[in-house]
Amino acid sequence: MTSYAELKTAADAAPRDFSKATALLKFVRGHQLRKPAVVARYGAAILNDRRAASRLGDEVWSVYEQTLLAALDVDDGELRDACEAAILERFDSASTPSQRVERLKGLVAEAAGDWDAAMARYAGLLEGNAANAAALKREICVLKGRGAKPDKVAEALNGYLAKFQSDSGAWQALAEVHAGALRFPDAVFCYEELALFDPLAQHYQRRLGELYYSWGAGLGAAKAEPKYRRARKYFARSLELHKKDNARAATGLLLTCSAIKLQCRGAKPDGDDELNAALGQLAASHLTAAYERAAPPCRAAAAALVA
Amino acid sequence: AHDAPASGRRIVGYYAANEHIDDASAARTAGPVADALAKGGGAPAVLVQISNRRLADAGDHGLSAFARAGDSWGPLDVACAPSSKFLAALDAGIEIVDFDAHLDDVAKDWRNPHVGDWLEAN
Repeated sequence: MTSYAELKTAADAAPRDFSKATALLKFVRGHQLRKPAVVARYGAAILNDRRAASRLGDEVWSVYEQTLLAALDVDDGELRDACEAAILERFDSASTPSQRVERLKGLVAEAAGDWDAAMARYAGLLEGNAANAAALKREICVLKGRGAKPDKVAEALNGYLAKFQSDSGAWQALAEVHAGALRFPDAVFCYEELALFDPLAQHYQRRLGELYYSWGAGLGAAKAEPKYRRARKYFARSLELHKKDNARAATGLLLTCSAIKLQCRGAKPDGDDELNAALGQLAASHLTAAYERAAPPCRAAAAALVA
Repeated sequence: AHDAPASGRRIVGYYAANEHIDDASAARTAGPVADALAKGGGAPAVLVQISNRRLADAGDHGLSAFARAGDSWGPLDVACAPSSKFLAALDAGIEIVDFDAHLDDVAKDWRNPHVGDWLEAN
């Protein structure tokens, strides 16, 4: 199975071979990656070459859309205008306004900082369909773009999630708004929802570990231990679900076991000590294994952590 | 801090950038992190704040630096290449590896020796 890195290397190596560039852009679209500099470069190259563009058939419109979005990200005015013009010429008719084109117009307005124009577009879309999730989400992005405080953004996301309870992207966005404002109980709640949707996703478990660890670190030694113990459980679960190359969970588990012993218990023995030490050992061995691939100085730094 | 015994190098500070382009406020977690670094490293830490707006100016490096001054932070002078140099590096395909990227793929070196090499050559 090819990876992004492989496709990019192939495209870089053969700049005149538009089939490689096309394959790369298709992969980026399919996996919903955000690689604006790469997409702008290769998208422009393909679209500027008549033969390459015509060989795409209908796929060319997806490439135009993708390249337009990349042009917005890298602030390439010429590329943006060219893509927008092509899309509007093909799809924008007065009789049946395309929802997809309206959304793109909104995005162009957002990129220019014209919040009112963007909101007008999304309001228009919602008039036609009050459950247009894409438009509702863009409205929240405009709110953020205008510099709204985390409270307002969280309120808006809550409103959206009340309608679209299974939108995991929105749950994660809300979780991170809470985490950024250090509202740990709320962030944890969101990630617990996500973990319910996808119990085998190791990154949700690991993020719960991180949140509980940060929560504990802000409390006094006595209150911290229950938080650290929950963190330990989540890090261990993340490691269990994804053993190989899971440096984040291994580091998290190591730091948590260390915090439990050194910060909370000190010299006082506890029934849990044996388990704590065993988990710490497990974390250390996973971390060392994960760092086999790293440059020697990084490995040495990791080894110092383990010691 | 952990690298110290091996190479004689230290982690000397922490840089922060806000998500919103017009948010010039001090990043909330930056001060406490810098303090923790100072405590762990046994030497004062420098706090570097990136101004998103100033980065748009090719001749400006967009950085402000601070050191602990009693209860708050006092400004330090910053000597740094302008943002046009960073863009040149980006165009040349030089990618900075921060610790977050390193944790995603430990093969990426958070000491960024390739950046040092490129800067020396360009």
